[in-house]
Amino acid sequence: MLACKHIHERLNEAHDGELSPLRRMLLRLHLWICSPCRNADCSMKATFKALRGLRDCPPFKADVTSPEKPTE
Amino acid sequence: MEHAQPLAAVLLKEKASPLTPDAIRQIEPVLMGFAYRAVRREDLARDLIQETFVAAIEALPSFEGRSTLRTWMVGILSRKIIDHYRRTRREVLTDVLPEPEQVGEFGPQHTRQPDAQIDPQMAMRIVDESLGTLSELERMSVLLCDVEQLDREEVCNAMNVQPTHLRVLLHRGRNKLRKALEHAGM
Ligand SMILES: [Zn+2]
Repeated sequence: MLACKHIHERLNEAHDGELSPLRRMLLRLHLWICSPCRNADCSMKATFKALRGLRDCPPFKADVTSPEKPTE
Repeated sequence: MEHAQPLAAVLLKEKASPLTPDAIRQIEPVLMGFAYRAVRREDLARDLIQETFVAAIEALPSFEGRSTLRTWMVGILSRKIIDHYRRTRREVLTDVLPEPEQVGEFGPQHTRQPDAQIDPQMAMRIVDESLGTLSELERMSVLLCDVEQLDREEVCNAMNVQPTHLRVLLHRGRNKLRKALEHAGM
C-alpha cells in the first residue's frame, strides 16, 4: 500500500511517467480514499500548470522597475 | 557590450542562418524571461543573454535544426547561467544529498479547502515569485524541465549533472513551490 508520507514523491514520479502500472494503480486507489492526499495532488497539479504557464509569460517582477509586465 | 556590432553584422550577412533579425526579436524576450527567472537580476540577465547570442553565432554551424531555435538557445543560455553560478560559488554544485521532505509521520497537512478555486494567474505569480526561494540548481532544474519542458538528457547536459542528481533537485524545487501555493491556500 501507499503511505501518505510518500505521496509527494509518488506524485512527482507520476507526473514524470516514472511509475509502473501497479504503482500508478495504487496511487489512484489511495487518492480515492484519502482526502489530504487528494489535496496534495491538486496542489501539485496546480504547481505544474503554473510552471507550464510561465513558459510564455514574462516574469512577474516584484522588486525591479522594468517595462516588461505580464498581461493580466 | 563590445560584441554587439560584429554580432549584428554577422547576423545580417548570415541569410541562411536561423538567427534572422526577426527570429532574434522573437527569441530575445523569451531568453530574457528565462535568464531573469534564473538569476533574479535584470542587468546580469542581459549580460548573460548577450554572451549567449555571441556563443550561438559561434556555434551556428553545429545547429542542425533537430531541436527548435528556442530549445537550442535555452540550452546555450543555461550553460552560461551554470558557469555564472560556478564562478560566483554560491552553491556547492555537486554532492547534493536528498533532503527528505517534512511531511510528518501521518502524511501531508493541508490548509487548502477541498474544491478551492485556484486562480491560474495568481498561481503563476506565486510560483514565479517563489522560484526566488529555491537554490540556484533547484531553480534551474525546474525552469528547464517544467517551464521549458526540455527532455531530461538535454537538461543533464546543460546543467552538467547526473540524472539522479537532477531528479533530487527537481523534486525538491517542485515541492517548495507546491508548499508556497498551499501556504497561499491553493
Ligand atoms: Zn493519504
